[in-house]
Parts: sequence; structure tokens; C-alpha cells
Amino acid sequence: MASKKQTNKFDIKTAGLMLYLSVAVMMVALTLFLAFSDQGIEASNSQVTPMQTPTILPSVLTLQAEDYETIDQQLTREASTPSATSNP
Amino acid sequence: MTANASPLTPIQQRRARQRRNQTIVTVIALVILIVAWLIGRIEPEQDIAPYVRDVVPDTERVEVRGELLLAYGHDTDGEETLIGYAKTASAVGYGGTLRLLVGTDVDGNLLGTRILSHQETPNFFRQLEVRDYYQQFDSVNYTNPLIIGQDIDGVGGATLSAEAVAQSIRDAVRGIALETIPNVQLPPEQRPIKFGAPEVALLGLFAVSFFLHRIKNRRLQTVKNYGRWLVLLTGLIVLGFIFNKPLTLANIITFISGAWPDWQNNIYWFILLGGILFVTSVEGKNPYCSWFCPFGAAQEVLGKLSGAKAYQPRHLYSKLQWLQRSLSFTAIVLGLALRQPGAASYEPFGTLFHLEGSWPQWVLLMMVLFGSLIIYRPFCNYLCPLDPVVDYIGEIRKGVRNVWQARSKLISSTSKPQA
Repeated sequence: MASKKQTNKFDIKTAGLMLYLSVAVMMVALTLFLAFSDQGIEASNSQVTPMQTPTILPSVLTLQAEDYETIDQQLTREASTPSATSNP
Repeated sequence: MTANASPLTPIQQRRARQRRNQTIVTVIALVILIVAWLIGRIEPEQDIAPYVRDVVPDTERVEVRGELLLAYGHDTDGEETLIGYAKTASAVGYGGTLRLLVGTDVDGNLLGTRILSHQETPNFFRQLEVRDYYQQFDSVNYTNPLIIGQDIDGVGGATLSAEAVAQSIRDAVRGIALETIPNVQLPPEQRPIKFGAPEVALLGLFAVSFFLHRIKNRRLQTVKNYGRWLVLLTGLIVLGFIFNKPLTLANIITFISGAWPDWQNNIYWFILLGGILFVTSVEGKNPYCSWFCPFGAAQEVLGKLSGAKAYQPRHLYSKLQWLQRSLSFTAIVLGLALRQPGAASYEPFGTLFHLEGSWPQWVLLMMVLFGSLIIYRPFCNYLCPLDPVVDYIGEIRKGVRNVWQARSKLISSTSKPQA
């Protein structure tokens, strides 16, 4: 009987523990929600991995190395400096 | 019921009812776990052709040839030309399988990569991007070893994820070269076995705690107590703050899911899980939690400083244990069904040891640290998802032992009349 009376009595320690655990469980639930939510997973799941510099195609690099110019560029240059394109 | 069976006392009846209820709950839980596991095995078909443009710039048309994707663009004359290849590759990281799409040019040089799916802990996986990990792969090709520690630097706190990304890129780049470049000479495959300080430390902790645990002599209790503190502090500093490799729920879910990492790079994982399984099965006591769990050690150190006492109200404790089991079970089911072991790991271990975590994990960590000053190991006693898992292993051991003993008794009783 005595023990029954004790359990029914308001216990500040137990109440504190219950409050503490309630908030902790809420934080666990929020952690799981954020981790599984679209913002947490989907956005990072399928992602382009950033590279430092955009890679240039080898063919483009070759063309750049040989001072390649497009026809438009050649025409523009010829128009501005006609002597430079004249036959020797 | 037989006529000569003695009636059960009320206490026996209550215990029998409790046992029956526990069996029902265990069976239901097992069924839910199996269903979650099966759901997690269903891999949705993913059309990867639209992503080729991300890994091979200027792609205008994609042709699928087996596992290889051919990327076509237009040259300066406006004619369609082959500009590169793409291929998927996968490797097991921290939380499970990680799948990447890798693009190369026609000469086998890496152009770009894209993560198609992963099961890592989001906060830690993001570290690869934050710390410019991917930029190390600029202009690499099939001749590069792409091994962490050789030509690639790892990322602390996301070691396994970084290794899985490197391995996927290595496999894809080599695979593309093999299929597309005639008479290609690939350098020999290197898979160095990773066995270093973390593995040695873990083995040492297992060995020391195992032997100290077996000390029964009262005169050696002081040695046992000091030894335990030494093991605890070593676990806290070495496994926690230096290597950030505590046992997590993600490890358990990965183990259950069957997506085990490769052993060459993950000896630590095998020692940790194998050691806990082995010692718990043989000894019936969990060697990890009370001896060298770094998070448990952190709580215990704080508790020691403030003189915190264990608080387990008798009339509530069994109900609170069920709360702990429910949290753990829910996280495991979600992790298995959604194939996200990393996301299911709600423990704030990484938040303490690597200062990474979502805001609720930070709040939880603060609560646990302050709570540890008042109550002895509050997280271990009420919230840790690993405690019920390790207890469950102990229960299985007990069940198997009971069945074994009953069987032995039956055999001996049946063999007696014959003798």
C-alpha cells in the first residue's frame, strides 16, 4: 500500500525526466525527418559533382593550340587588316 | 491440458502472458523488418541518358550500347560527331551503395561525374563538395591509380564516402577505356589493404576490455576499475576525437541490408561489427557500450566530474525501454526501406566528434551533455538506438542457449532408460 501511495505522488524528478525525454524524442524525430525529407536527401542524392575548371574537349584544345580561327573570325580580321592577309 | 498438471500461480500466469506478448511483438517486428528489407531491395529503374549532358558537356544525342553511353555533339562544320562516353559505376560507402555516372572524352580523359544515388549521411557527404574533393579528379584518365593516399587526398570525417567515389570513378574510367580504346594498356589494378592506426587501436581496445572484463578476483578490482577508465578514455580520444569512428546505427543497417563494404578498405568495419557480435555471442555481455564507446565515455566523464547518479524510476523504466526500442526500430525500418542507412543514424556522435550535424542533432547533443551532468549516461540509458540492438543479440544468444540446454536435457533423459 505504501509503495502504491509513493508511485501516485507527484515526483519532480520523474516529471523532469519525462520532460527531458519528450524534448529529446522530438529532436530525434526532427533529425530523422530532416535527414529523410526531400531537402535532405533528394537534393544531395542526384547531384553534379563540381569540377574546378570546365574541362575543354581535346579537339578544341588542339584547335586553340594551332591558332585556329572560325571563318567568321577570319573574315572579321581580313576586313579590319587587309594587308595582313595579302599574298606575299 | 493434462489432468495432473498443477495450476499456475498468478505470478506464473502473468509471466506467461508477458512472454506470449513479447513473442507476438518480436514476430510482428521481424515481419516488418523483412518487409522493409524487401522494399529496400526494389531498385527503381533510372533513365540515366538525360544526365549524360552533365558529365559530357555539349552532348546533343545519346546512344545506349550495353552499359556504355555514347555522347554525340556537333563539330564546327555542323556534322554530328562522337564527343565522349559515359558509364555508371558503384561502390559501397559508409551507408551503402553509391552510384555514379562518369563521362570521358574519346581519349579516355575524365570530363565530369554525377552522383546518381547514395546512402550516405547527408551532412558528411556534403563535405566532399565543401572541401573541393571532386576537383582532384580534374583531367585524370585511366592511367591514374586514383587511390586515396596516393594521388587523391581523402576527406576526414567522410573517409568511406570519399573512397567509394574514388573507386567508382576509377572503375568507370577504366571500364570506358577497355571498351572504347583499341589495345589499351591499363595499369595493374591496385587495391591496397587499409590496416592502420584505427584498426590497431580497435583491436587493442577489444583485447584489453575482454581481459579486464574477465577479472573476477576481488583483489584485482582496482586494476579492473583503472583499466576500464583507461579503455574508456582511449576510446573517447582515439575512436572519437581522432578517428571519429564510433559504432553507429548506419553500420548496423548496412550490415542487415547486406550491402557490405569491400574488406580491403574497411577492415575496421569488420573488426567492429564482428568483434561485437563475437564477444556478445560468446560472453553474453556487450563489450562496446560500457567499455569503449566514445560517446558513452564522454557522458561518463561529465558524470564523473559532477557526480551524476543513475536514475531509472522502477515504475517507468520498462516503459522507457520500450520507447528506446521503438525509436531504434523506427530508424532501422526507415533506413532499410528507404535505403538510407546514413540518414537513419540519428545519434549525435558526429556532431560531437566532428562538429557536423543538423540543428536538432546539435540541440540533442547539448541536452545530452548537460543531462550527463545530472543523470548517469542519459543517452545510453534512454535514447541510444544501438543499445536495443546489442541487447537483442544477447537475447538471441540466451534463446539459443535455452533451446540447446532443453535439447541436451531431453537427449540425456531419453538415453537414461536405455543405459
